[in-house]
Amino acid sequence: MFNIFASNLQNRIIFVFVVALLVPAIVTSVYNISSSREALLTSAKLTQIQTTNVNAAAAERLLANPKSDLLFLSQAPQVRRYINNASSGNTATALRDVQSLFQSFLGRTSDLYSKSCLLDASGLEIVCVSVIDGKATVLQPDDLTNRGNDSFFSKTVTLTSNVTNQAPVYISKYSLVKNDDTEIPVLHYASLLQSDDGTIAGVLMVEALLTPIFDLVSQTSADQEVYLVDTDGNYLLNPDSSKLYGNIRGINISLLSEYPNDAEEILSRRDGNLLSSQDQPNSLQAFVRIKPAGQATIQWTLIYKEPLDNILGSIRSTALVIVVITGISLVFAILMTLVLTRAIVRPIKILAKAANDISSGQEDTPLPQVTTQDEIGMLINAFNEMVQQVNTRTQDLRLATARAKEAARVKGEFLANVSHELRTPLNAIIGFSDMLLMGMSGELNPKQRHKMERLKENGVRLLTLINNILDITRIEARRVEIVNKSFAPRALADRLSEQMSVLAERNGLEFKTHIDPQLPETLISDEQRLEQVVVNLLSNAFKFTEKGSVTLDFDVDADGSNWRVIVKDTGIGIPPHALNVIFEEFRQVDGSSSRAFKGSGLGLAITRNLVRIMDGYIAVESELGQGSKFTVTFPLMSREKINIEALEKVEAS
Amino acid sequence: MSLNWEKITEWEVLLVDDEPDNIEVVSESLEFYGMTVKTAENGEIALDILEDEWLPNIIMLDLSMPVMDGWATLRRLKSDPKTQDIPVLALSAHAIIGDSERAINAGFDGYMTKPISVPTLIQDLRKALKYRSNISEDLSPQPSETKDETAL
Repeated sequence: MFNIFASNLQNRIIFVFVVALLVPAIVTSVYNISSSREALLTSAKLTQIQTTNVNAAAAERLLANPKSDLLFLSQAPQVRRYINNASSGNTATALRDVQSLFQSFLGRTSDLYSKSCLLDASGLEIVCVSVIDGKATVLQPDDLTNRGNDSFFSKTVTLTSNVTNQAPVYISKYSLVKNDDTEIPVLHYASLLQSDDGTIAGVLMVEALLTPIFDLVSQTSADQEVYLVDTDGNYLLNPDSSKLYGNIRGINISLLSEYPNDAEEILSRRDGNLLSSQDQPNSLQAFVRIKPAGQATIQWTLIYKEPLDNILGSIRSTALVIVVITGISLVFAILMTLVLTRAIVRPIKILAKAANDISSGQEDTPLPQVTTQDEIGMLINAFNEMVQQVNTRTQDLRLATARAKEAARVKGEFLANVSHELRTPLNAIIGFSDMLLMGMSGELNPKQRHKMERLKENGVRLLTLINNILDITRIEARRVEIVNKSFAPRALADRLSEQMSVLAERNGLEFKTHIDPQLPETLISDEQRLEQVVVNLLSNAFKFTEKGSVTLDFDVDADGSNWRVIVKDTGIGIPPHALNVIFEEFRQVDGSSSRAFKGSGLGLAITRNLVRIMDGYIAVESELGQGSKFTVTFPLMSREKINIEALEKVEAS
Repeated sequence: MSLNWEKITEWEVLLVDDEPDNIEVVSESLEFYGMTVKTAENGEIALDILEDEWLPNIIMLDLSMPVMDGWATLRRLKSDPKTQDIPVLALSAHAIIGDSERAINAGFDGYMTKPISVPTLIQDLRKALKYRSNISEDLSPQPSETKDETAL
């Protein structure tokens, strides 16, 4: 993905800006959110603990209230009278008073108590007042039962021996009593009634409603779920009422069964809190034990539970706000960067395009306009000045080139004219010499003949020199066109053989041609130039060979990629030191040979240049006194092979 | 027109050249071999001569001349049915590589480089005029005699 940045400045700048903006924004947000999460959790925890503690303490106080009410009742004169008369059996009046006492007591406290009873020493209910439909109602004798076997009675009776100064109060475990159609949770508070002499006269019992306590502990913020469990984890309070009183109802639902790990923690400690417990990772819980002092039957645990989502809900909106703000500033930053970088990149692009256009030769490229006076304006100004400089120089160069071309043309023309002018008189000199030598103006005596021969020979030499100079000039100026066509090496060899036979005969030499059977029937080359090359080489061979032979070979080299023309002689040879220079202009082996073998010294230079412009190369091997071997090599084009195959096919069909 | 090489001494030649020295050398050489030579200083004069019902066996035409040069004269000769069959030989001092092809391609029947070699004149003529018959199979010109002098 980095290649799109590598080639694009704008993208790179935007990338850097976005990173520079995003990273601190993200870091700040994460820090912010995590610290506010911490703060929220801490505060929620504190609130929970505080609420549980306050409410538990209040509950404990409420639970203690019936004890004093019971003691008040048991100390009431009506009750005392009954106790003291119980042994005498004269209790009727006392019982009526007790009944009234109960009625008035329950009439006042019908929201706290559901029942109040006086039992005799055997456990039989003697007087019972019950709150029915909000009214303290005296139970008829038919409704009275013997509670002698109830645990609260037997437990109350056994409490006696321990306490002396104050009548002990027994508090039963919670139980459910039927009230109309509903079952309501209650606690039975019971106290032993003893006469002044210590005789057990009976038991006083009040049935306290648990509802006020439940109402009290349930007073908390709406998000909290309130649970109350006993020592076994049975629910006394649960938002889901179907889970209540598992033990009494004989169903196996309790804190222990639902959240075993939490239950173990909660039931074993007096208070504490659980954040993201193993059982309930998404909740914060606080718990505290409710255990009113001085009694053994009540040991409950109050639990407040709050889902973490409720606590941390505000963080979500905070995060959303952060994301939105970050997003908006990101968009804004990208837009700003775009605007800024466009201001930088656009002129650069324009400059680059202009530079490209100019370098590709579009001269009428409009120059970029300077619109600002800043660094970019300076750059454009500098660029434009440079372009003007380049244009001026290009024009100068063009002018110079045109001048040079014109000069070359004039030079060529001059050379052609000069050569013509030089040749015309030379031709006349040679022609007249010829005529005199032919005896057309009378026979010459030997001396005259000799002088005339010298005259003619020097004329011819001068003419050849001029011709060769012209040739080499034209070749070097590449004014000689190479026209490649197919030709038959066999025909060329035959023609040369015929042409050279006169020369060979005159010099008493043997001339042999040989054609490699591997060589294609036709080759591609400029035949005329090739012939010129070969004729030059053959002429040299004949010139420098006194006896023996001159050989012309056409062949294909060892790896079959080149074809070669080889001219071999058995002549005087070339000394090693001269091998390197013989192809250079105006170089002959030495001054003496130059005189002995008259020539311009340009023949091999012309030959080499011709071979070069024909894409070949020439090489020489020689041994002094043994002879020389000139090899001209040309690449064998695959075209030639294909042509041959095609020709063969045509012929075959 | 086919040339009768047996009766070369009876040939009539029209030589067109602007150089008096050259005319003297060539015409006297031709006459030395028995031919009859008429001369003209330029193409126009040559065409005038040909108007007089005289048709030579060959025409030797210098390429660079004033008034009407060899190229223009050749075009006139070859476009005239009366003269188009007469072999025309280009005569040039330009022995530079590439010139002979230009001449042959332009329609000359042969090409001779000045100077004319008097001793080998007949062979050279024969060689030069062999061209046309060879053209159909091979466009390449014969090397001129002067090339023999090319040396190391």
